Amino acid sequence: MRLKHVNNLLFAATVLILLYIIVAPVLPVLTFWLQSRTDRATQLAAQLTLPVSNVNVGSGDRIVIPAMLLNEPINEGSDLRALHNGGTWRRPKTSTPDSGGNTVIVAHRYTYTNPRGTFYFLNKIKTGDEIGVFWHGKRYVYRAVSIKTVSPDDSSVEAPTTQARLTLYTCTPLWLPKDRLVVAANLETQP
Amino acid sequence: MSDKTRFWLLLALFLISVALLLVLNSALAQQVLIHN
Repeated sequence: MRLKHVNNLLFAATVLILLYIIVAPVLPVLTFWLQSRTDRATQLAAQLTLPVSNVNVGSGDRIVIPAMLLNEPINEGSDLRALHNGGTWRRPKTSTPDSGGNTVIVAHRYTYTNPRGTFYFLNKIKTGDEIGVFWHGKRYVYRAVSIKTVSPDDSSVEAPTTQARLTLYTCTPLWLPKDRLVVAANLETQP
Repeated sequence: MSDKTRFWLLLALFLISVALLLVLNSALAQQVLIHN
């Protein structure tokens, strides 16, 4: 009788895990849809135009993308562990917003431990969308100029540039992430 | 099928599903960078 009870528990746990494996990757779509019905996008867009003294996006270096309803920290670090607690990671051998050149920021698209990966909705960005970077207390606003998919060995997206540029990338497609989705944006307003 | 046989079968299925989740998560977590 007791073994039967254990069997029922094992069966339920197995079904739950398999359901999580199947359903978790699409749950962020639901949360995005719910959030998009609020004025969050408008609030985030306002952070890119308000006087910097009135901006309230959180502490530290951050990236704000109204089209993705995104406001996340920019982490520094030498390897992927910089993404262990979520957020984004500025690739250490690339530039910084205050130095000009090519600043490259990456983040996870999706993992089971962080179902809504920071760049889950990077594909929502269209050319012309604004991207704000708050870096060392100053605001840099970029405008997306190109969105493309490249192979994971195309290192040209991280190459230095003469003009101030922001490059964001993550893996794509969602289920079998064999390529990289890359968004390039040019600096529009600087402090 | 006896309860004991069912227990071992379910335990194996449970462990396989946990392993699948861990393997998938690990694979996805590595798929972010562009490699030079």
